[in-house]
Amino acid sequence: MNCNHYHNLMYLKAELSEQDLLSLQQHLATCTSCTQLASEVRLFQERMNSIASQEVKPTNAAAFTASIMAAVQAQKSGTTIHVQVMNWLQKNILRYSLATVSLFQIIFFSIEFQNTRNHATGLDFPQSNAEVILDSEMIHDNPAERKQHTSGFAACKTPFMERLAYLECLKSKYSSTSL
Amino acid sequence: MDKDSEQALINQSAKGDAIAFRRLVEDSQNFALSIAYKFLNNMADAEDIVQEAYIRVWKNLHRYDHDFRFKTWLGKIITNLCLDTKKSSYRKMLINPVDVTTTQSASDANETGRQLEHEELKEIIHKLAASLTEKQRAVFILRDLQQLEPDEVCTILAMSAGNLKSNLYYARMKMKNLLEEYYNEKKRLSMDPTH
Ligand SMILES: [Zn+2]
Repeated sequence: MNCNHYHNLMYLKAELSEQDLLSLQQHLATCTSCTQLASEVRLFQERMNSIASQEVKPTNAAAFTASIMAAVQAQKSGTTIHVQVMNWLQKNILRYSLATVSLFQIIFFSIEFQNTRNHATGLDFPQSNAEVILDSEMIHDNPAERKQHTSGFAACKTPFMERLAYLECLKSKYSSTSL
Repeated sequence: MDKDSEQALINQSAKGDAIAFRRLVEDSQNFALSIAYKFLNNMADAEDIVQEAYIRVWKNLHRYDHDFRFKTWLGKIITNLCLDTKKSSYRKMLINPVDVTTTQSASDANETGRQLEHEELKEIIHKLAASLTEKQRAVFILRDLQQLEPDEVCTILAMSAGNLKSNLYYARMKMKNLLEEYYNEKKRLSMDPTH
């Protein structure tokens, strides 16, 4: 047998019959070039074993089983898409709930900003008389009145109130006192 | 799990018993995930494939051949799904050539003589396996990276023992040579002062 035959055997050491293994060992005892290659192949095989020995498992075994069972049982009832959506939501729930909170905060802030801007500056569009009076009072009043007005503004402010309704509310607050 | 209780659970599951099926899943899910991960090198994709595989198992329980062990059958389904997958982690691996300069994160210039970090070795093996034929790759992953028995690999891939050996021989030889080239190239780059 020439060396090529034994090269083939070296790469299949773990799969060899006892007889082939014996003949390989006998050849290696007499051939230095094959011995060199055999040690390289052994090093390679050890490296593969180190990858193979790494344990692969889900981060949460119970949750993984649950998601598999949900997908399997959805097949029964024909609600695969529903389960897929639920699985997806479960995976992304934190991200999307935070996004929702941020979105609502943006909406609230825009509304508040809009209200503040319209009533505090009065520069954007023609104002009603009541609004002009309110604004002028906001600028020139004393601290006690300012406090009263501020509480009036707070009482009338709701997230989705129309501008006109807001003014009506303010008017009703102040009609008896300032206006 | 012994063969008898496995068969009993399969029979119960085939009649629609989800609790019996859950026990089969619990007993085999790590094995399934490990095979998928060795093919895809990405945990999220591997989990998706495993879920898909169990759906197929569930749907085809009535066709189950009791000559096979459950895990062999499951391994076959996982392997086929992995070889067919359009998952980006696997496709990317197949089209991207290995770039030594981007793969040497784990060790630096004075470490070239030492063994590569485990993670880096895993990464590079996964990329190098792209240059194998599909059969060679499947044989290499199942036998060397998952360490299944030769007859199990033959069953999973519907391959004769002789065919297995010849694919395994070429796969190992190519992988060994590619890995050595990778080490040498890395060594050259680390010794080159202009790099
Ligand atoms: Zn020789």
